Amino acid sequence: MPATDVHRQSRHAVDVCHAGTALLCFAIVAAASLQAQVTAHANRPVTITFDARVNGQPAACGETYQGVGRTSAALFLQDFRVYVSAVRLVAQDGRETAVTLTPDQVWQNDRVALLDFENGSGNCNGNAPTNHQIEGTIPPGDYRGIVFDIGVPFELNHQDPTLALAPLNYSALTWPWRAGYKFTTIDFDTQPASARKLIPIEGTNETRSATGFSVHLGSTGCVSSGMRVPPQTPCGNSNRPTYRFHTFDSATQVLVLDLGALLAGTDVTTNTPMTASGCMSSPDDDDCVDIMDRFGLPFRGKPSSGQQFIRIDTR
Amino acid sequence: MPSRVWTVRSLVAVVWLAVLVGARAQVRDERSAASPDLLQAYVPSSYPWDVPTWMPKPLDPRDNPTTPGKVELGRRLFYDARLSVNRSRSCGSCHHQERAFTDGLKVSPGALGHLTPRNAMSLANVAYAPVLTWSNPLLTSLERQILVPLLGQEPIEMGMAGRDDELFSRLRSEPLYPPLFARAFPDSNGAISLATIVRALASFSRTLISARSPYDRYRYEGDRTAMSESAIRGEGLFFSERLECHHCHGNFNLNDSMMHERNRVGEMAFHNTGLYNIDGKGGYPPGNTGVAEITGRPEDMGRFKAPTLRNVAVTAPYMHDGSIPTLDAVLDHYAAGGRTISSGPYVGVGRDNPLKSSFVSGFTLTAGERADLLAFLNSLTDEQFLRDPRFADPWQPAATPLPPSDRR
Repeated sequence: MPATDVHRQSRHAVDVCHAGTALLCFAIVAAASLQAQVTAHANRPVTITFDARVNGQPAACGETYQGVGRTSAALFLQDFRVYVSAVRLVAQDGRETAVTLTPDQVWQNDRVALLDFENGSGNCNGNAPTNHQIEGTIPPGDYRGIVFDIGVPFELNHQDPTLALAPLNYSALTWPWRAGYKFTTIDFDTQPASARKLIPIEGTNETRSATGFSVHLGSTGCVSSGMRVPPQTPCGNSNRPTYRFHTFDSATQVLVLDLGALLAGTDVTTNTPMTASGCMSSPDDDDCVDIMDRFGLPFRGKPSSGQQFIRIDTR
Repeated sequence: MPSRVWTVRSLVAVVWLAVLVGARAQVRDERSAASPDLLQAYVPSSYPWDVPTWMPKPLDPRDNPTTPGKVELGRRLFYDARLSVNRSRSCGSCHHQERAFTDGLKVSPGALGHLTPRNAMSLANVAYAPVLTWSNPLLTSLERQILVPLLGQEPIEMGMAGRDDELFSRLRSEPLYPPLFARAFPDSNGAISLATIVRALASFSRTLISARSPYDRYRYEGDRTAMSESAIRGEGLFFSERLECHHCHGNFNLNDSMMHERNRVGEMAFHNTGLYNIDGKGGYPPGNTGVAEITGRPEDMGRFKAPTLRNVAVTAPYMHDGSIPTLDAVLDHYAAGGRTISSGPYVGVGRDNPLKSSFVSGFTLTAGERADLLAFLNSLTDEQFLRDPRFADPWQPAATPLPPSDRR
């Protein structure tokens, strides 16, 4: 809201004031207020709020959730971070207007934002800060709906992750260069882990039981001459799902990412032998079939029957 | 003046409280960028870091900016055995430069012969570490970590608990120190105190930067000739989804706990790699249970920090307890998806450890692939770091500074 904007900038100016003279002070506050009001006429701030849940319960590190997946397993959360990009608001006539993300050196640059639902506690690896929102600006208008992607845009997705700037600067959220970033870093254990049954597979030293379960969504079928060489053409499967809600009020509603809904058709206590743990987007991995469908993505040439991952709720 | 041990305990309690309160407060916040810890505690540094242009610079603790004066003093203190109760051990006794500041032992003897429970960690690039030691998520300050070897009593390492005044008078009687302290800490009039000693030691430790291995030159400086073809193939294996090494050793320090000027929030991680499974329920040997020792939570059993693989060829033996003697044997452990111990008190099949990280699922290597992977790991050795005179013992007459023009 413009009023908040004025308040924020003025408050910033007042901080400067503590060190300045009274006259200088007055000038700074006046200028800041003026500037804020001018900006307000051009673009207004918009905050999109997200929430992470497991079958409706707030998702948090160190918590156990019952009734997850096809076998109604218990889930013990270890990581839940998601990249969001291409955020647009939709006017009544269906016209889409891009939200200009406000870079903040931590959670978002001007193209992509990181939602971080883990706080480093419990069994979570990561860090203490969390982020459930995207902040940006948009021209004034009568917006009724929202559209956004999960994913990192192609132009940013295949850089050297060890040297990247925020919010692409976390090693836990990367694959090597060619493949790009994990658009979703979802890791969990089935609880209690110590009671997990290990079902050996004859003639191998593998077991059929999952040792934890991950949902790492990312681009596949990326072609380049080396692991650290970015692809010049888009990957075969970009795997950036687009979510569209015709009515969404950012002031009163939140977008809920529900792991329970995403995993509802999957047995999270087993892992397809000779594949990555859980679903790491590989077209070869049977564990991805139902998950990709619920993300809203085509998989093995079959279109999705409709996304189940994200829904709207009141704040 | 309260005893120092009490001070350390209360510090730990305060940190605990901050972590608990912080964690609770953040669960429902929509955005918590104003984190109570790293983001507040660390700030951009104005120290003239000797890092290559590609490399992000370390941050400084807000209350201990790195300065040349502190670094010079810290280097003297680091190699000074007067910091131990019987003048037998310095920091350098367990952190040898030629071994990338490790000591070549499974575990290390303290001044009175007690053994540490864990293997001495490399200090290379410790300035980038948001969390110190093998498995203590609460130890997020190098200044506080240094108190552990200096004052710790379980086990006794340098054994100076309760002997602060003796330590200060020992240092005062060395003619070199008063002017060094005065230059390093002008704001406190060169006070020789526990606070200034640990700050200087931390500042010197932060300058121990390794960034000139053949792999650095190959990857970050585009020198295709820096690595052999075998090592380049090994890099491909290391970063492959088949081997999954990079999930825990993927950043420029080849670990996954890091903070720097481009990552001010920092990230830290602890993993159970299936090194033990002594009760079939994921148990690790008593006294070395990892994060569980700090949190008391059974699910934290066996979780340890992934160490940097910089200079890994010279930091044997490996793992938190030094229980794997060679890199070849380390590959066996990961290839098997966890180590099997078939005799002795720690018998168990680590592969079946129910608490094991899902990234340690095992793989098979051909002999050629194994050689390539070892060639890659050997390309991580930074020879210049291992013999840089700026990091050497300044009490030895041989130590002369390298002219700036000779530094790459």
